[in-house]
Amino acid sequence: MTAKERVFRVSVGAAVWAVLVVASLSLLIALYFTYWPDRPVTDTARQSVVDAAKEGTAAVYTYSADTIDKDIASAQSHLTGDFLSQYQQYVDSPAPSDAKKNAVKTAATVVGAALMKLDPGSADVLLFINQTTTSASNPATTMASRSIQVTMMKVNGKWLISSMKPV
Amino acid sequence: MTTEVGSASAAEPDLRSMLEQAEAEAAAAEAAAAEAQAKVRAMRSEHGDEVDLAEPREPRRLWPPSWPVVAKTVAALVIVAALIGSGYIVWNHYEASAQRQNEQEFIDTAKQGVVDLTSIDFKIVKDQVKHIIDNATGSFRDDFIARADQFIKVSEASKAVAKGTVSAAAVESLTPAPRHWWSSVFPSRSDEAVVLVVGSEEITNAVGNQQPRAFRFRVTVTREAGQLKVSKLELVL
Repeated sequence: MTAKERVFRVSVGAAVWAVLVVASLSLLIALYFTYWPDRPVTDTARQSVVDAAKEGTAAVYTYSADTIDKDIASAQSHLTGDFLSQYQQYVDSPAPSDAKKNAVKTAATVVGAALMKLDPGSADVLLFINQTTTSASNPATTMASRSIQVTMMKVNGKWLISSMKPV
Repeated sequence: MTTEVGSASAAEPDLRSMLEQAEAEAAAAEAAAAEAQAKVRAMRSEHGDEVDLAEPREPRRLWPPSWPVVAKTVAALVIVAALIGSGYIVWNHYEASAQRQNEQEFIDTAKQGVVDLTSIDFKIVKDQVKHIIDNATGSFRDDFIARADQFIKVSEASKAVAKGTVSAAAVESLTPAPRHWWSSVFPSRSDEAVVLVVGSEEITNAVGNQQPRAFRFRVTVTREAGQLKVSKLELVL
């Protein structure tokens, strides 16, 4: 065997190594992007998103004429994206000042909460809400039962409500 | 070499020829030796380290390793790490789909339970009641058996036809699936789950068509002899 043949053999060996390295890293990267977002849901992850959905939804549905500005600010701190702008439209409408004039007092309690779907950055939560309302024009307590699907988004590590729809 | 010129002139040619012959032999021997050495050199360079000739070789140097050794070691470590990482990702995905499947079975059973309970056709109500009882267990089964006759009588008398649908369902709580050493390969299943179900019922009876009514249910589903059954069903008011 000549010296030239030996150099050739060494470079074939190096090529095999290089192919193996590239192949194994490509596999890792492909799996990372396809499967890594799909991991088992831990109880703590489940609990934190469900709690955030309950707290945020209760904040949106709870306000009182005498504390309405504070209640609105509190609700806004739980919202993000489209739902935050929808809520802002409500705030800018005459509705809050009407509520103030009519001494509206409404409070929501969450009577059921279940996680529908959880991805690393978003989640859907099913909530059963009971809302009691009194006002100057209607002093007797009225009760409303709602079933709501709340979509949560993780923004800077915090779960915020990005959408709400009745189901 | 000196020769006494004159004193031994007769022997001189004989001596000279002997000397010349000896010198030629020496030269031939030297040439042969050189040729042999050249051959050895050539063989050594051709076979490299494979043939150990004459003098003992220095022991192979282990540290610092040569660059091909370093490169191969790094490559091997990268390959092994990438394969372990890939395996970990696949395992997580597998566990997650097993978890989803586990939950989905309870959701499906709860939804079916609500649809069965909110769907009535007075013509086949007896079969429907039997079907509900077959897929029930525990307190829900006992309660339903207790009022089954009344249920059948009322729906037959009112010629009721109700169509139940479910618009949303999700697991509120779930008993943890038991862990065994084989769980990673054959995932084990939970024994009981509480499922929230939003259902609606559209009733048509002798009086006429009515508005669909929405109901919120909290349904407990229990595994009984390998089969999932509704063990508790309550309206969330």
